[in-house]
Amino acid sequence: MTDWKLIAQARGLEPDERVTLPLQSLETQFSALRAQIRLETEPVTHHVLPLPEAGK
Amino acid sequence: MTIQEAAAALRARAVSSRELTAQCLARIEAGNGMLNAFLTVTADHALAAADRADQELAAGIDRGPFHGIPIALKDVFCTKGIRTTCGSLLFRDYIPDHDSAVTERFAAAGAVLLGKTHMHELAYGVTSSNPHFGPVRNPWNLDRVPGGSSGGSGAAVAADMCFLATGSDTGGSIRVPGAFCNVVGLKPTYGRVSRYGVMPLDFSLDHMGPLTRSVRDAALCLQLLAGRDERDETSSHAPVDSYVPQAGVSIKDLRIGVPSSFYFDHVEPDVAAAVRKMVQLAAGLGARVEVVPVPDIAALNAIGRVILLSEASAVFERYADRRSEFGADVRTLFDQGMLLPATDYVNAQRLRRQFRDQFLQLFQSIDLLVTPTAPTVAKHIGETAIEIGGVSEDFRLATTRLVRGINVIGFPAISIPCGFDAAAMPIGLQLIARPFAERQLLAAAAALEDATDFHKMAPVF
Repeated sequence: MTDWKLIAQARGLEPDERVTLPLQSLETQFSALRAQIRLETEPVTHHVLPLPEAGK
Repeated sequence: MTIQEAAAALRARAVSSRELTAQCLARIEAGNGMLNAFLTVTADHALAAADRADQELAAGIDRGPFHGIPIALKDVFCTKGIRTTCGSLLFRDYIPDHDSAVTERFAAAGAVLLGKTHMHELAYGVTSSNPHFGPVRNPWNLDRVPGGSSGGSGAAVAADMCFLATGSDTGGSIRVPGAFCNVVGLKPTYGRVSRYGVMPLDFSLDHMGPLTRSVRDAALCLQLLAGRDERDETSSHAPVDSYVPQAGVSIKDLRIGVPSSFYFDHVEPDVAAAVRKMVQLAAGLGARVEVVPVPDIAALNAIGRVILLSEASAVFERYADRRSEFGADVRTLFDQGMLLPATDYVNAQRLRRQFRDQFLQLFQSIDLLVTPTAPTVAKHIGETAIEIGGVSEDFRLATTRLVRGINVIGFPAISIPCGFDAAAMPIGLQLIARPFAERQLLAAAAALEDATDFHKMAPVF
């Protein structure tokens, strides 16, 4: 797991648990998702949303 | 009174715009000290606009359903010459030199601007308990939050201070105050309404829409605001539909999906019961209701949080040297976004595409998805955690749990009143449709509204 306190300090921020604890839980959730990404998937950008465009 | 009713009364000369405006200003004068729903009231500007509307209507110039109707704008919508704070100390003295596209359209339609509504700081939160300008209070219980970030808009509409107020919705900020204040909150499809001139929280999750006292009023608003705007490259070319439901609109044979998982888990019993009652009502009205599996919403919410934290911190990085001007909760979120790796952001955008495809697949077998808007009713000001079924959750994450994901995929959604809990606090029902199917979304919402009286209930404060 990432040491968020260390990263916060490296970025010049106080290692505040109100910042680091939510990041820890988010990392846990998000790590599990990375494996689901299909290799060929490109990122959505705001130019791509919304989806079915008419008249373009 | 709804906008439709007021518009009819104006044309019948039963009331003038000045009278409607004066009534709203009197309500604001009497109640804003308690509710703190407005940050700026433009009384002189409003009365002058009302007089112009009356003169035009008398001369046979009719700009449509908003002509002479008193409205308010959330304080993220730029108003030329009128302070626009975004609920932030950073912008406490900001007076824009331009109008937002939404501001322009209301002005061209002859609407009367009463002022700017209060909000969560920088639209980055769900309580509207603003550390700089004080908390907005819920007119149903002054000790409770109105939801957010468009809390002032929800409170103002519920308290009859205006006929409509605009909101912005990045992770539920229109729908949550709609649910908590017993008003209608519409989040259109991403790109349906121009974001030009709206102070951003996020690049790809921000949506603009109305809070109103009826579904048809929300539809009238969408009719006014929808359409391509060259100044917002994300605004859509999709044709503008006819959104306002007819009287007696039917939902017969509409395919309504009820999620088999997530949306009714960890929800207060009164909330779940009220929403399920509305599902039964829909079935009774002829809709084809079926239980459907849904994509992994917890995962979608995690994706949404990564995107929002990253993009919002990118938006506000330029103010990083003014940390003392951020409130504690917003500063915490800002710092979180500054620490996330870029790879997480890119991968969240890749996952977003996959989840969007899963939802498009789901909507091949249904027309609408029905869920609670929030898992609870409005909670007390200052509460940072809530407990449902013995499980404690962060209030912000819990409150956005059922709405945030829909911003990630950009689908349209609406919250409508659907009941009250044992403490007489309002409950909201969320309907979600496929992209650009607002006509169907609003028709279904109107049919449910027509069959109930919840939206007619008003707070006494």
